[in-house]
Amino acid sequence: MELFKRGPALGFRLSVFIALSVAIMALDQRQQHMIYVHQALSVITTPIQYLVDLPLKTLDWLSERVTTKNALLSDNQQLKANQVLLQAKVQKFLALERENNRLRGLLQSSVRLREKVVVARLLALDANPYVHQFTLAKGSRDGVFVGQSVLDASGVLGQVIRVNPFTSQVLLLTDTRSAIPVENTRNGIRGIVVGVGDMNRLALIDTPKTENIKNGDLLVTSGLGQRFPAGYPVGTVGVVIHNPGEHFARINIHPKAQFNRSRFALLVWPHSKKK
Amino acid sequence: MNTIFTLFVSFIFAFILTIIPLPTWALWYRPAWVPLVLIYCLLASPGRMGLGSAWVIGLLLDAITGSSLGEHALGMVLIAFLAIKLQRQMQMAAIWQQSISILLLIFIFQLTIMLSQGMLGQANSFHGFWIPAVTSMFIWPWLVIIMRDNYQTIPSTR
Repeated sequence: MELFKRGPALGFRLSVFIALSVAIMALDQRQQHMIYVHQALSVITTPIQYLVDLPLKTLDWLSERVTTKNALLSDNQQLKANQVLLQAKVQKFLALERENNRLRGLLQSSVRLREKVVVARLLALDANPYVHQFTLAKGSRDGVFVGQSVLDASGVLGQVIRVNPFTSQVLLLTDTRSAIPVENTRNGIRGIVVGVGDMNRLALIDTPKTENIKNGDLLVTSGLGQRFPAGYPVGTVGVVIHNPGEHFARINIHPKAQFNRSRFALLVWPHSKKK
Repeated sequence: MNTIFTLFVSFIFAFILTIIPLPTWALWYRPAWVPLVLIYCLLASPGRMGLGSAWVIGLLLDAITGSSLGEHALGMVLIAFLAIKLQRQMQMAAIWQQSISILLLIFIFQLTIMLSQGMLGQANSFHGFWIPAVTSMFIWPWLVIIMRDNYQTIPSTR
């Protein structure tokens, strides 16, 4: 049918579609109206994503089924030993937390509440080498919301930037669009850590050269900006470069989270927010 | 009816190949599967698909790769337009000559996506954006052979 519509009509339709694409790009950048389009498209894309993820999930399941009894037993023993150790640490931690909250009460500052944390699986997909994102197998059906913090066992991974009914997109700290407020555990100096587009490196920006930041300092989330909960590790300070020609020191951060090896992520719900 | 089913299945396969996990070093080498299938369909059965369907498939590609809506849609519309324009010449050409047109078309597709992602301030690195054009060029002959066997209802040349 379209065979007979060539000539000026084709060029006209091309310009219409180009204008439409550009308009949608601009609208999507503002991230308000296009959420419904995203959700409508996810009806088709989510099954494909789960389909691609399925073989890997099956492989995991199979390797679990065919392990020997001995391997399972030794695994079990190790996990039990680990659990005892962790519980001993938690006991101490609980006492410390109570003491900390009492002291904060005396200082009349706000008491820190504990957050709720849920484990989510990453879908085994990667499509877009331009951006540092991944897809979680939990979505708005599970109460995930835009801006939610995502952790792994050793540190902050990033935040949720888009939610579909069954999946959600997470922007990693290493992406150049990402920024996170942090504080130095050694002396409480605050700053902002941004991604530089490299999986193994972050950068602490806009820190005056006179600030006391040394190689090996641990940076944790400061909780300022109300987006990331306070106190989760972000990274350790690597090389600090003082260039006399620049206003600010150039500070490399080694991230704590394992961005390209994580299979599971932790979603954090702030305590005040009802699911 | 049969052809539409084949079309549907081949696009599903293209989408699967687009998001299937690869080792990090191989990410840039992934051929642009969905544009390749689209170009094949435009050449093999002119009139069945046009700019509109290319645009919708591009939107789906945006959604599945997690980029902003409109980026891949723009690229798909551009190469669909060029493929319709080049239809006659490409249908007459030998497969290896078609491959050279594919190199050009996929390069334009990648360039469009790179530029739009760059303008929206999303991209972290551009260094390998042209590689899919080369890998797509080498994949094209095999794609033609496979698709031709499953696509008999329409002659590939007129």
